[in-house]
Amino acid sequence: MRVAFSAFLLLPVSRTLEFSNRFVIAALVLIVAALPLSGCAVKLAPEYDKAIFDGLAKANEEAMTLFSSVASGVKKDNFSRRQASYDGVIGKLDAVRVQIGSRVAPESPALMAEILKRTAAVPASETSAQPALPAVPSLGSLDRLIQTMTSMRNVDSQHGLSPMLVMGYKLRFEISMEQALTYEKALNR
Amino acid sequence: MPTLPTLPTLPTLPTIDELIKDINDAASKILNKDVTTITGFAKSQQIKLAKFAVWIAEAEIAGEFKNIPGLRDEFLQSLQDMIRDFINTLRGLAMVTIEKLWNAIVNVIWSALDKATGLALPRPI
Repeated sequence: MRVAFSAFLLLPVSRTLEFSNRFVIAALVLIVAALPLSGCAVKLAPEYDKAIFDGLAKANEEAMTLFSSVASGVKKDNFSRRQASYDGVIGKLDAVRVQIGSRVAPESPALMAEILKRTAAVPASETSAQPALPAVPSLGSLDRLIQTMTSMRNVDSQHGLSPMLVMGYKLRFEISMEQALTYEKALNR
Repeated sequence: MPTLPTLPTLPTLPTIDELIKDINDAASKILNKDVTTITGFAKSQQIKLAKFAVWIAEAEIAGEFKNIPGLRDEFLQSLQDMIRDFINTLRGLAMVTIEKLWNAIVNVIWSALDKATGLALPRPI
């Protein structure tokens, strides 16, 4: 309606045109404006963003370098040598998280929403008590990656890291990174 | 002898079997590729999550958490969160596959309708 109204107001017509003519032309503009929508493909997931995927890959590379440098265990006394590496990885992950969070998620078209609602394994009333899952799965994985690196930095600075603890943090990181990379890559359809 | 008027060319109507085959081909192509990706991801995650659970047990026995208050609970919480993220990622991957299937099947059927009617019929959204 807004398009039709705007078209009605902006039409370059002289005052001699009758109201009915204006209305017909405005309606035509509306139809033409709506035509591309009817040809659009359904979107149920966000668009692929190469910058997000590349940002994740870069953060992964830097984190793996850091894990490798502390794999034999480190003492808290020389934490200052590693602080910049931790901050670099956490900063990159934070930047990617902001990019994912600000990406426009498509709304399910009414028809698809109805199909998904009818085919849901669990009725909506039963899921309402559960905490909501993020619509974009990689957002949750990014939260986990940031938590992992922040915890590792804090433990390193206060206690140092044993080889076994490094192994545990690396496993945590790899699980969440695989989730985020797999999903973001799948968006490239 | 009067000449007969030329009849208009009849549109090509697909048979039901042809249409079913086209739908099946389009869906199978997507499913074969995506199911391979999803099962590969799921298997890799299951292995990693199992390794991580075993690591938590080993770290507990080795006393790795003893001198760092709250660290064991943090690792246990992270295991729970990562299982949740794993399921949510599977759901997200399935949504991408559903989207591709929907668009491919709609494209096959509406292309056949357009061809049969000679019109560009509006597609469902």
